[in-house]
Amino acid sequence: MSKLIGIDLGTTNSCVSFIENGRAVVIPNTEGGRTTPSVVAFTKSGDRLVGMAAKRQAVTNVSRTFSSVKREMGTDHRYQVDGKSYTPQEISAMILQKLKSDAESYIGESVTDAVITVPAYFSDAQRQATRDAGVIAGLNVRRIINEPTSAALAYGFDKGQPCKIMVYDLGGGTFDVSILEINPETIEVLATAGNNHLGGDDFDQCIVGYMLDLFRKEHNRDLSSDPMAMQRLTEAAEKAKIELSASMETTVNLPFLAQGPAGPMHLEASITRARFNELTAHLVNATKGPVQQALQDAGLKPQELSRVLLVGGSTRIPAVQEAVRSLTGKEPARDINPDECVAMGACLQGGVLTGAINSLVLIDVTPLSLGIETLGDVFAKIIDRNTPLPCQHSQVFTTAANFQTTVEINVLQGEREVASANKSLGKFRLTGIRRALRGIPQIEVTFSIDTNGIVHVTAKDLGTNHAQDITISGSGNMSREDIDRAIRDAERYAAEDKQRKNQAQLKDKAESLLNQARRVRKKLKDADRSGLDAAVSELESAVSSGSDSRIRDAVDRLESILNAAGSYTSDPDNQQDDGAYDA
Amino acid sequence: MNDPFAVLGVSSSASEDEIKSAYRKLAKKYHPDLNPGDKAAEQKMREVNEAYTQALQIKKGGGSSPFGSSYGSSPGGSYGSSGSSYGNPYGYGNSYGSSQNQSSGSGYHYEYRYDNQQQQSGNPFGSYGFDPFAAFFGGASQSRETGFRSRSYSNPDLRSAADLLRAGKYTEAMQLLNRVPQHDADWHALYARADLGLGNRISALDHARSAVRMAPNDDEYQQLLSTVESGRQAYHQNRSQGGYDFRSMLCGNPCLTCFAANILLNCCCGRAFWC
Repeated sequence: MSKLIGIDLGTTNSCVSFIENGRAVVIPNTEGGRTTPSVVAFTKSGDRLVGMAAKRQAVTNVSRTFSSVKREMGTDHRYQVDGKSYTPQEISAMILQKLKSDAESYIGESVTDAVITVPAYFSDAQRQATRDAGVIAGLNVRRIINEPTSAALAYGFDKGQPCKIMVYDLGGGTFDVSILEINPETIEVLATAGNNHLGGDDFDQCIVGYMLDLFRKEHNRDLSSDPMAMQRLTEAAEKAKIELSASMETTVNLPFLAQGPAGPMHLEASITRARFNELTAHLVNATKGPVQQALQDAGLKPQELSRVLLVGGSTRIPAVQEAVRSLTGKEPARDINPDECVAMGACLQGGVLTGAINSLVLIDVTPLSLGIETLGDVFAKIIDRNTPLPCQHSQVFTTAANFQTTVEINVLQGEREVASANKSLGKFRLTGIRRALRGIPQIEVTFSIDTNGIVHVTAKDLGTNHAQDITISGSGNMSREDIDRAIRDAERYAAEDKQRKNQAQLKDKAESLLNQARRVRKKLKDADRSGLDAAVSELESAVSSGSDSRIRDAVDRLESILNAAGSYTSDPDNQQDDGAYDA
Repeated sequence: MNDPFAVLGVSSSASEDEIKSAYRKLAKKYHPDLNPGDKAAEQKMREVNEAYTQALQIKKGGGSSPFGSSYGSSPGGSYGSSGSSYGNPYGYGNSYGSSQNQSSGSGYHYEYRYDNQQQQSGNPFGSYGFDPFAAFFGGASQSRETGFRSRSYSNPDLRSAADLLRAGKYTEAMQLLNRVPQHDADWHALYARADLGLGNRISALDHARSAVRMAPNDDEYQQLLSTVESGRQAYHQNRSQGGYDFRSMLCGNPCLTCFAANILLNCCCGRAFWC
């Protein structure tokens, strides 16, 4: 049976895990990291880089390196490279593909199924986009699960004690707070609140802004339109932020940041923790509202919480921890890894779905109210936020004009009373209503939200009992055809990548064989050298021709000659010994 | 929608903890995660979730007998006659319906099916031990209230006031309304209802007239005004006004009349979306 993995597809970093011997285990990537930067780059030679390799070259390849793609999920944003345009889903799929293939090489089995996490406060469009990214990456997405819920699952999985906990999840780009009740066999989400655009990236930007100001004062030069300088500043800001979590002061040193008339200009600045806290106070304050709202929605006082879990890298910021302490009156728990627990919870949920883990059920809620637009731009709620999933609600509609046969309904998600201030999931039309006087037709429209938090709409004409066809055309979402095309593209890229990798391996092998041949040749008698020389020159010309099949043939030939010469061995240790001997 | 307590398999006097523990048992049985691909289980879980939300809201709405005073205590109000005649069962039935509506927007047609089913199955007493008249009038008043409810108030104070009115808390509703600075048609209509509930017929008449004056095409306000003017039961008003009598005649079922009346109200509110 193929394996299921749990994926935390983060704004800045992603993490993947699977279940081994009944426990969740984080899978290190092929570079050895336990998390993978969510960065994708297209090199000028046409290679695709994902993860640390992409992040490292960002400075020199700014316009072709994409990060924080998660912030654009579910929007119309497109990434342009070499005249080709990519959706955020497609870029995310490239990250997922890497996570998948790293997991496969670690587990040693093929991976087909995945549970992918999203911020609890993600809207329907953002969830659908995430699921589509998984599909494009060739994954069977068994579930979209909320990140704080997932973290709580990782925490509460083997805790027997009933308790109520708060998860404060401040990631790279999103903020969620969830309140959960953990019981021996159930984990229930009581309330969820958050902000989809608040995270570590914003803290970095505060430092960048500060450094831009400093530079402007010192050199009278605005760097904000210089992409390479901005990239260096952003990277330095992230590093400074991380350092300030441990020390009280840090220095940013960026030589040759720009070229001026009087020569190169450098930036050297020291930032104290107090200054950092001052620069980012508004961001920390912005997390207070959701915390209070979640507590209120759950009907709990802070003292009724038995624990507060900190999730997401940004909760390492001391001012954030202080804010949590003052809001809840609790010392935040430190017994879970804020970077890894979300992915671990995801694979545990996968275990529940595949039956590998029984005696546990997770009941999540919808983070946002669902409703429709009514006259005067008024938002009429149909399903309230924090309703347990799956849920559904029906509403009967009728016509306003005589002999009206079509009706358009705008489905919205959000908490604002002004309809247009909420996110539109799309509009759908009810067609084929039988001609009648106004008010006579009765069309029952059923809105339901599944356990992925994804909205479905169906309609039925109560008069005729006929189901109505409904298609919601969401704005940022990909159509079925788009997804199919993206799947084909992704498969093609994967094949190209594989071919490129094989090619590189073949070239590498050819090179090491040629080295080997040179060493062996010294030991051979002149009479025995001719065959070897022929094979060597054939391989050399094959390599320069670039034809894979020619190289492969020449490699085989040379390999067999070296074997016959008795001194070739494929054992790498031995090879090294040989080299040492020769030297 | 069925009685939330019946769905959860607990009595209506169950404590919050009993409701929660019953809910968890059902969730373990029907949650789609544990029944992959089982559509029936998923549907059941949706019902359980809805019932759970409602049951908790009813419990939180007020102590052990939150509904006793609902309409029975409205002297001379539009519901006064039925409320005082039928006393508690009526108030109970109605409050149950309205609590449900609070939780889920407008679950009215479910309710009617429920009542309808009861009648059809020859069990007019339902699971509450209503007498048939209580169920009958309960239904009528639900229809009024749900039509009222399905109107969406942009102002949260008005929404809260509507909720309070449904719970029979007329004084609180009026206090809340007094704090609202903007007096639009919705506000006057709600104020009229609060006045009615407290027995202030003259003030109710003033406010109902203001509402109709501000929104002359609104059927619901017209209906409210005629209710106030005549002082008669809303149910009869509905029946004689809407021109939907034929439905009840056809069906011979009073609850379907309520349904019909509700559709009428609904289309007033619903016309916003029609192009």
